[in-house]
Amino acid sequence: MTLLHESDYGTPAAVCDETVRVQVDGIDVTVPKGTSVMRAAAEAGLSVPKLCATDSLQPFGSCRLCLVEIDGRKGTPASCTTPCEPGMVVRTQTPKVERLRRNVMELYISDHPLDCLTCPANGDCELQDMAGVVGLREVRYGYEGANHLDAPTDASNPYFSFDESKCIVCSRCVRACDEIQGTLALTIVGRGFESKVSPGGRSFFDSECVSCGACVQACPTATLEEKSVIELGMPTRTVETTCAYCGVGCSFKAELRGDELVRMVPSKSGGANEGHSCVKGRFAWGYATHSDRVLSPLVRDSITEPWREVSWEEAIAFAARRLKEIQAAHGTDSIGGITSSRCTNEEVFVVQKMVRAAFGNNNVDTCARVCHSPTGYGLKTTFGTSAGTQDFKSVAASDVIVVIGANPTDAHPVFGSRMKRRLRQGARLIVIDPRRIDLVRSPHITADYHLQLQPGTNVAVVNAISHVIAEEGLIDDDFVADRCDPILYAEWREFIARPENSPEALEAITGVPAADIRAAARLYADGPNSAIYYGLGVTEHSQGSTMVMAMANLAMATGNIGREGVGVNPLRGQNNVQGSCDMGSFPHEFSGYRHVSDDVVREQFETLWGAELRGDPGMRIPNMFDAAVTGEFKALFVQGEDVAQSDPNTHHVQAALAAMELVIVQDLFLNETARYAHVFLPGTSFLEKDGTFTNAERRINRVRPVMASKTGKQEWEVTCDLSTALGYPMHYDSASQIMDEIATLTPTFAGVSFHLLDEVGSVQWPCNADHPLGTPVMHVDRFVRGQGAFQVTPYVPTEERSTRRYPLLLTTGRVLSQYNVGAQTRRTANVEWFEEDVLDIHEADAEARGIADGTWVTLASRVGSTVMRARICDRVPPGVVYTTFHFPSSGANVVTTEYSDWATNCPEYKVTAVEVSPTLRGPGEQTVGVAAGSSVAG
Amino acid sequence: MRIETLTRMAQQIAINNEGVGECEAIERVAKHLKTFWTSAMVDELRGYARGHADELDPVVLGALERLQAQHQV
Repeated sequence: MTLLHESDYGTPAAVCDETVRVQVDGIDVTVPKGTSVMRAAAEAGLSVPKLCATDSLQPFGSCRLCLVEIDGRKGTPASCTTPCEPGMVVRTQTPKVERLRRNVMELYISDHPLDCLTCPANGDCELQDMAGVVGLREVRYGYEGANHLDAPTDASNPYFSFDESKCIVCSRCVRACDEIQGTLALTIVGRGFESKVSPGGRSFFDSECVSCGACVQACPTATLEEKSVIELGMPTRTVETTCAYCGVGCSFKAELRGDELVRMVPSKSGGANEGHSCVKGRFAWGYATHSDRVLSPLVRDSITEPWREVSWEEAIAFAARRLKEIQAAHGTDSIGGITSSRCTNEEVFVVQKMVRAAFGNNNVDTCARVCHSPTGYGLKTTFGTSAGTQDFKSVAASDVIVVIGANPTDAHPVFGSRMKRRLRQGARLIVIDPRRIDLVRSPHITADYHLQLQPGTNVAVVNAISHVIAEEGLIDDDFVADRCDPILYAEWREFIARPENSPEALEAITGVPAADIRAAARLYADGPNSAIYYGLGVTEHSQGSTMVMAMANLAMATGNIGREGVGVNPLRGQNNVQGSCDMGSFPHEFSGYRHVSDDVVREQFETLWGAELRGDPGMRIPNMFDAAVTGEFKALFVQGEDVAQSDPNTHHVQAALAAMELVIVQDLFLNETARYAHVFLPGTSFLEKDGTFTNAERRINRVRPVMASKTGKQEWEVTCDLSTALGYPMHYDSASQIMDEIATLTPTFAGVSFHLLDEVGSVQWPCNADHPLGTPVMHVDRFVRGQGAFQVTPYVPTEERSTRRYPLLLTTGRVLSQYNVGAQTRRTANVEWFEEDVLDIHEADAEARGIADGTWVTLASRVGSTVMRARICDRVPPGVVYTTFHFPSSGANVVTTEYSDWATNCPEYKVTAVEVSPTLRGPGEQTVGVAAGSSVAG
Repeated sequence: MRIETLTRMAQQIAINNEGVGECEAIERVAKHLKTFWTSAMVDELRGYARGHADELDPVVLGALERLQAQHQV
């Protein structure tokens, strides 16, 4: 494929049912009312010259290049800011406008370096293109006068540079930062000739810029340019693919020069991101070719021995032999596998198939266990399916947005920008979080209510909100009567009205003033379109599942389900959390969330797979670890998950791994888990994969190989080889064939194929005969389960309490520039923004302990301790501390405990009783158990 | 598995289902154990309950009895 250029209509599409008919250069064109003349011309196939206009930004009218003549009107209006009116006759090419455009361009070029041949944007520069389009042949003004040609270049950002000498001050970058990203980091300083773009008078690196790349994308010249383009040259071909970071699932154009990836550019046609990106997806992909990658299989008999590099055949034979020996000695159930939310649907599907058909048990689980398993439980119980209700675009129709236990601007930044856009338009905001996340107060956004609850009291707060709604007659009786199970509703109605659920009764527990809860409840109920967005601050609690059901109750009670602008929406942590769950990764379910005990369903799988399958649930990840410690579980296949770093209570996980006779790790890097592994099967990065990811809005996106697999194999091929070696032959000619099998066996995927995805871009499941192009909004006329099922959701305090010895409560999360355990982002320049985990602590707590800002502290819980630097801040209230888990050197999960969600065993990462004390020790001396060596012998 | 872990998990499931009355809670806990627990885990808890009934929530005991009855049917 050649370099893909997406069309630019100059101004955004107008959304209006009413149309107007105009004539442009003799061509009749009908457009929605509100469409600009520039866009109408573009839709008629005509191109009006432009510099400050682009269809991702509102029209600005500053460059004066898009002037046109309109019959009956004086002057030459800018076509970008002039809306079409019925019967308008427009002429875009007249001697008058052509002369004006040349004059305008002449002025631009008189203050622009004439270095096109050596400019990195040569061939991809709108200024250069427009100079050609307007027929510029001379510059009469000379270059001796005042100019900006010696203006400095700001190269402080690791990924792009700002060459001020090339800037035409069109403000596209400033507007992109305002309108698309919503950070407002850029501005125009100075007046007249002194006007210039500035990141707030500081360098880009030191500014509020979040490096989303929107400004670089918007720049029509080489002023803002990717350093990779400057270094490698302009790309020549495009491969369309999907980002492998968070659950937003942004579509990207991977742009290459030959076989070398030069840059990742967000796709305007991407359903999830519509042309936007964040610092990770846009720039932090260098890990894929990092020298730390292991590209050959490794084996060793014991974890105290060095690795031996072996052939694929030897590694597979070694792994298969050991697995069979272990099952022969300890029983069929003594082995299992973990699938990865980082991998494609196809890669995940074959792993769970291998476990069920070749291992002969259902001991398969997924890393979603430790993040969004309560979402699956809660939404399936109440609505009938384990997925969010809306597409991302839906937020544009929300009047009230409730963000609970999520930090979208850091963890789901592209959706966060979409949400901020709606908030700047006037949507109201309720934030329920112990921390003051950025959304609470950011440029042009202030939360109406920040319910700063005590960690662990989510259910109490949402019950209290529902109590107010019931007590004050705010329930949508018609919706409930039409759509919900009346018996379950009556049970819930009686429960929620109880005095113990009132905000006043719960105030002492939650720490949230009752008046605020009452006001927030009224706001949510009034909507009219109220939407809930939530993250791991909801699920990673001992009542994670209860909380998901409590939110579903709230949405049903107020009729906020089944249309644009409403819903209950999980913000999934990893790129394919939704997909890995859909693909049958849980030990009790086949793909499509059908229980393994369902004889009819199981028979379908048995018939197609030609294997007898078990009908009883297998072990969850924590069950496997517990059973390993007691000697009942002996071998584990781990696909793309670093359980030794990401799972709670590191000591316990390490003990479990160390107790196993065989650990097989399939990954890019020798991660922390690999220290305990006997077989290392090198994996592929997203740039090498062929398959699909499913994002948080159920959107199935294609992942296309940008480069050949560096290991020589696709990951699904390795799984097939292992399964075959175990005696259950598995073979596919392509990833497409695996999707065909998924579609055959999974009703919600019945209409999905690579062919369809290549044709339409993406679809949101359910995609089947009833919904051939997918389903953006679910539960429109009826719930998937039929009637909505209200659930009684009593608040049960966590057993994890602050004590005299551990008086503070620790909660954990992410920062924008890093991602999960940091395996990828730590291997990129993103470390320049965040190079170590730090502990956020309130000034009062710090002062009481003699802790100064930036000094080392010991963070200790009843299960372990670690060391990191303290950062004194007021984002956390007194009594609460916060850290991230991006770096193994600090190992935040050394202190998190074994407590988990009652229904799903999702760990209670968000509440750990801790103490913090000053220390002189640096990092790397935390009391983690001694890990085995991981040196590689050739 | 460690019996302390199993009993803690079972008690937690029971407590979180107690808002609906004991009979319904027993029904729900039994269904939960059957849906999500391995047979070995249920058997191990049942074995422990025989000698330590006083340590377990009545709802857990009821759920184990319900499962036993279903199994025998």
